[in-house]
Amino acid sequence: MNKLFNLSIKGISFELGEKEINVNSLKEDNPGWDIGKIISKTGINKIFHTSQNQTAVDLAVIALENFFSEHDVLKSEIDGLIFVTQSPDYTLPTSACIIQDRSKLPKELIAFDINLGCSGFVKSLSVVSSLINSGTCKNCLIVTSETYSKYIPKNDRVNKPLFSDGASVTLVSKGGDFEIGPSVFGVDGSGAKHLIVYGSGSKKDESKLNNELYMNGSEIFLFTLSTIPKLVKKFLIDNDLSIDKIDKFYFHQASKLVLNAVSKKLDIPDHKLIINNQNIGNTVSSTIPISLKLSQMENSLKKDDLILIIGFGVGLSYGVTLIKWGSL
Amino acid sequence: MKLNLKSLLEIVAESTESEIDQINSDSSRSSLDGWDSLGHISILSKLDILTEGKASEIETLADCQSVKDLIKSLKSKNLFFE
Repeated sequence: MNKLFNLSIKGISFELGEKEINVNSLKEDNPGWDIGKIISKTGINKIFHTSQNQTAVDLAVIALENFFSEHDVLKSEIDGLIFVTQSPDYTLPTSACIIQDRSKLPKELIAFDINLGCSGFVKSLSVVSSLINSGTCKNCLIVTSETYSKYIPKNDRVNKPLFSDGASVTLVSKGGDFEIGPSVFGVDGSGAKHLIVYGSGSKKDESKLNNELYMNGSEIFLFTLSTIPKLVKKFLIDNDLSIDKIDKFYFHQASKLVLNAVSKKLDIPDHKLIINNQNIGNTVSSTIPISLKLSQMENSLKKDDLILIIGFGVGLSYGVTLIKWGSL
Repeated sequence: MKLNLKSLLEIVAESTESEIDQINSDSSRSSLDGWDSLGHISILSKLDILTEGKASEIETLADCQSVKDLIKSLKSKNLFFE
């Protein structure tokens, strides 16, 4: 994707699962865990879970309510809705259609789901920007929502202290002074088995039908460390950029250990590396929009800032997009 | 940079939060409480830094279960000397 002008991010809102959990409290169910060590490596103190009956669609609908109450935007202006999730209510129908109805969005809408995880926001932003640039729509919502907690048993030491349920809403509109792109994307499906929920689709593997999240943390870490720094370096060189010219780096907020390792390899100064999920957790496709929103709330994102958003994870799938921040 | 046994044992000790005198070439995930998933990721991270990015290119490192496995993987890319 080349650089696209004449569009803007009009606003971001988010919602977290209703149950706030102090990671320290996980020790009650798992007395053998060294929680202090886990927190020191993940950097995550709090996570959020949905209640048993609350789904990713429910969370998305609340995030949309937040969005329309926080921003001066009419629902009637919306003509696009991309829903990014790997926790749909059903295999069919498309969750985006359910959300259109529940959130009372216009029927004159292009709406579909994108099944992506941690790279979902970066790739959806490219799709939405292209839809707007082509004239297909003018005001398109990217809604990300995940409830990974439903795939994680309480004694899973790898995933339980890490993942949160959360949803975000980002409105991208025609007009304005943002510049989005260029982007670069990649996929390595040979690593699909390293981050997977067996039994979640139509493939029946009798030995693994437990419907639980499996993550081989070491494999994912090696993939990240061997792929993402190279990708970012090449992206910067190809676009006549450098670490110095980028104001902030918004990586997918996987964990402190991962972010520090990647940034160290790229020699990113601490003040340019955004890590702000200590009290939120890893919300999968929502981590980057939530990070952007938190920066906006802190007034640390300024007009004309050059930022890089970098998503990576399940798939294995990854992407990088440059954004010249505009007026928001 | 190449690693030797001493530097590798130091990395394993630091990453697993174990005393250095607890670690030897026979140490493994099953013998060290701290060598769990996070401990292993810490080992991988430190190896990658010390080898200037070469360790993350060794796919077998993810599955290593012991110090001996680590040595074998590092040797496969000529990153370990006796």
